[in-house]
Amino acid sequence: MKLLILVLTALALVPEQETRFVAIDLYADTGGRPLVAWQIELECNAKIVGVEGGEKPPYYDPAALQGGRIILASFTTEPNPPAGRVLVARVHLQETGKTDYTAKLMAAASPGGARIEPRIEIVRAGGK
Amino acid sequence: MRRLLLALVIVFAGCAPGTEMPTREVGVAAPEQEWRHKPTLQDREVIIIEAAPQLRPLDAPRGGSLVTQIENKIVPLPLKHTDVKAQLSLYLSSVTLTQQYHNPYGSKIEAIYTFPLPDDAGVRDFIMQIGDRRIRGIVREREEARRIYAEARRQGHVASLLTQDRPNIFTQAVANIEPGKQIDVQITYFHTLRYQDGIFEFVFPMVVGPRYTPPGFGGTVPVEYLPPGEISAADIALEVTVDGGTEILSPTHAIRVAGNKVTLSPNDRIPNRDFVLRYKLPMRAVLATHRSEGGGYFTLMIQPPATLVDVPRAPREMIFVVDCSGSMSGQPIDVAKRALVKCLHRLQPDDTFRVLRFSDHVSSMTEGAIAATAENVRRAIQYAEALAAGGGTQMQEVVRVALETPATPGRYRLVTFMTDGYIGNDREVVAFARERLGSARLFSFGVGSSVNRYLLEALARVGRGASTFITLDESTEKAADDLFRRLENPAMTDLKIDWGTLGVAEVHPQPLPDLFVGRPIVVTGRFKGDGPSKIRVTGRAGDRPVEMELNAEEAFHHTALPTIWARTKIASLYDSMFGRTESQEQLDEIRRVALQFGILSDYTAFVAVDSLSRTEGNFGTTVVQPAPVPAGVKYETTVEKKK
Repeated sequence: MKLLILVLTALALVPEQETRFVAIDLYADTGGRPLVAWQIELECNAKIVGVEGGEKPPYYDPAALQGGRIILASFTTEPNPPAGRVLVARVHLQETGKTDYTAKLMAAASPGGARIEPRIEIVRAGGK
Repeated sequence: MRRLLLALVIVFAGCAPGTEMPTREVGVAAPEQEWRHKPTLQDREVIIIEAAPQLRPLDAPRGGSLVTQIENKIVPLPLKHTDVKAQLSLYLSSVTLTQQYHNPYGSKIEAIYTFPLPDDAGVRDFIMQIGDRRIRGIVREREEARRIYAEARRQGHVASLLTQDRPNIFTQAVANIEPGKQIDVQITYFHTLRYQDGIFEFVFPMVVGPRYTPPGFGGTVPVEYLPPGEISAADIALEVTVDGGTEILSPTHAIRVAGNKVTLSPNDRIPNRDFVLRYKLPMRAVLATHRSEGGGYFTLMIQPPATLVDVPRAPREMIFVVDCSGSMSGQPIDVAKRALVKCLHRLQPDDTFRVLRFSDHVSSMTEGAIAATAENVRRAIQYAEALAAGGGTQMQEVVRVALETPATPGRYRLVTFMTDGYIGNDREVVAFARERLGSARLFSFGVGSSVNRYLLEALARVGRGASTFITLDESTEKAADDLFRRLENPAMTDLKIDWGTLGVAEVHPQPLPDLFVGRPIVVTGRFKGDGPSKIRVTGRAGDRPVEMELNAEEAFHHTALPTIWARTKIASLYDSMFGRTESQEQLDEIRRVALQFGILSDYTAFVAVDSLSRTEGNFGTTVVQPAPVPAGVKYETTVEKKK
């Protein structure tokens, strides 16, 4: 019992970690090929609190949303789709402590449905 | 999985109507205001100030049409404009609603606005726009979303939270709006349209009516109202695209029709009553489908058999319940009285009937049901014509009196509620009615410009009856006729459906509703087989067995069907718990379905945070957006009395 009280007291004395809101940018480097559709799985140990990306922010699959895991996807019908290092999504997060991120390309396509394999890069977004 | 998500992308992209962001400005006036709106939101820290000299409108009055046409004081409030775009495809509707919030004061604010949506709306998409940046909100368990929002607000981030208070009442909170800044929130939802006697009806509710919550019940509705003499500068623009349909009209608003596009007249943009749009479109059994990797979803509209009108009518015990509470004062009670008189005239000699009135108390012309003799009907009409409105809305008590009084032997008991439904304890009343229903059927007759459709539809649903609505500017005779057609013709009951080769599962609503004359039903479910399929519907009309074979062609595909299925399933789960002990298993199922399909519910909420913009100082002052009192409702007999 004493031990339990000690543990609880110690826990109570540990300052609660401040959470903060940050954003990360997901880039897809297509190597010059135009990008019309993509699907990326992001996993992190933070809470996802928003998804940004142009006029039509990327969609997410609610059934696959779990903690810090999200599957994002988008497509464009623009006549001149982006190519090269493309900012595909900005993900807003609520994090506590150090956050680890991994992003995995699930699918990407060029016009006509040609499959491409862009390199995915995660960059911490700047703030005001 | 990849195909699934890419399909999802196409689903979302294909369903939402295009959105424009009107940037026109509306005049605001009155540099200093008396802030008399009291804090009412539950479990949220709300600071409402009695007088706010530091909150000064930034914009000077501009003498716009609202200022010049209405001799009311325009109060500066956060909601600036609402833009609605709806796409109607046969019996399915997809609606994108954009609310523009701004800060007309000199210091930072949090805006809170409680607004209505259709009670069957499946809210699936939520975007917060700051300047030209658009952030898609995330659906989360409600409490988690609240915590995220509260923390973002505390830290000074622009954030928004959308929660469901009731199936037809929602609250939007937008935190950290700096002076002069604007934040837009865009919501997309889907629902099915009402169809009756060959006419489709689209309803966009614009204002939550003032709700009376009797002492002892929780769940007050957190809406504040503008007092007489004050109006909000917030206006509304609405554009509806109708696929097909003729004889388009609105009984509630001035509209412009150009081709298949309907817009509100610029002179009729005050959001103080439901927008109702009707149009003719002949329909047979129409199957809508949507296929995905996990299987398919469908909706099917089933028409009642034409022979229903030929089924002999059995004697009835008709109980008419008239809401005489303060909110019915004036035009609504007059409309209800006229409708009641029409119904009394149509009673048959072998019927019995009773008229009950209620407000704070229940009273009746007679102790029980009496024979519909000419003399008794004449007395009842006199009684009806003398009814006056005032007081609270003790609806549960009138339900008790109507349903617990022993029924006349050998007659079908049909109870009709004529009311605006402005109560805060709606779920409790529906549960109470369900517990006491017995073999009676409940019909609802909604009277008013912004009635509580959730209550009225739910009463009719659990009471195995039908609902009818009348706005204040419509023909009472026609509405009473519509009601009486449902009352005097037997319904097709005990519906069973053989789905043929469709491989159907999880059909909702459950149990299947009965089919009334002129009123089809829409059922939704999942399927794995192939269409088209021969579908057989069997049931009974009176003592006769009825069988219908439907050639349900897959008339169209619609990406909203999974959302509509999920929302209907949640409604069925709630219906199954009315009047019974709440099942944790069913509540968990509601939460699971809402999260899986990403829709708003009692257990889920949308939250969006802009982590990149952090405003200075604390979150400022919370300003609750007051609503106009619904058209036809008197502030002094309703809002003041309920305070």
